[in-house]
Amino acid sequence: MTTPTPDPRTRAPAWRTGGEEPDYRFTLANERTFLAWIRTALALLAAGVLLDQFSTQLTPHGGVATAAVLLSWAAAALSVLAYTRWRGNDIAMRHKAPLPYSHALAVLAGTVGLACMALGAWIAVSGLRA
Amino acid sequence: MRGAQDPGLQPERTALSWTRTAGGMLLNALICLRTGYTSGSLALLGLSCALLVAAALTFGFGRRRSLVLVRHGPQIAADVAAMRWVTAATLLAVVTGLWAIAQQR
Repeated sequence: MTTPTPDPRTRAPAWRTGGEEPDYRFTLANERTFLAWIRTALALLAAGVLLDQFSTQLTPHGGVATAAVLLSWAAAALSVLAYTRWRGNDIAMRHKAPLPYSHALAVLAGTVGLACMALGAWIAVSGLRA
Repeated sequence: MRGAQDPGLQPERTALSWTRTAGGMLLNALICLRTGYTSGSLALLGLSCALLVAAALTFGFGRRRSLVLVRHGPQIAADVAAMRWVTAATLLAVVTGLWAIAQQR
């Protein structure tokens, strides 16, 4: 019951079988981290699409569309990053190597912070003009 | 009984994480479906329906995953195919979202 039974239907890639099987708690934490990054990507995407749809009063609207497209691209980048980070962490854990460091979190926090400030200023300026 | 096996509630947290992710995908599908209806774009409606199916499948993956973790123990790692699938579904969501933005023009 406790030993993992390999499923013959799924062919695991070579990196998945190398090294030593990590503690299951770390494996599951890595899985949840992957899913958390995916959710972050989905949230950025929803923010972009909703921003474009509900900011009809904000001018020029080309600027809003640009922001929405940039948010969508960020979502695409984050989803790919989620997978590569999950894979990298799994490989590192299997070989008892330090987990790969990523600037993704700092870049994401900075981007979201700047976007919020820029949008806030923009909304304030168009409110004053109206 | 899950809690009795693992004081950290690892299987439960992992299963909930899958459900939340499927929920996020469903939200994006509904937003794009709405734009598809209001703009009358068949392509966007098709993409949104595909995304709806992807959200349902992600929910199914989570359901199967939690059953595996409970029945066969938390030592069973996730399928690489499932992770690739979720990444691909998120990229599909991005394409659908970009399409919805383009429809607003």
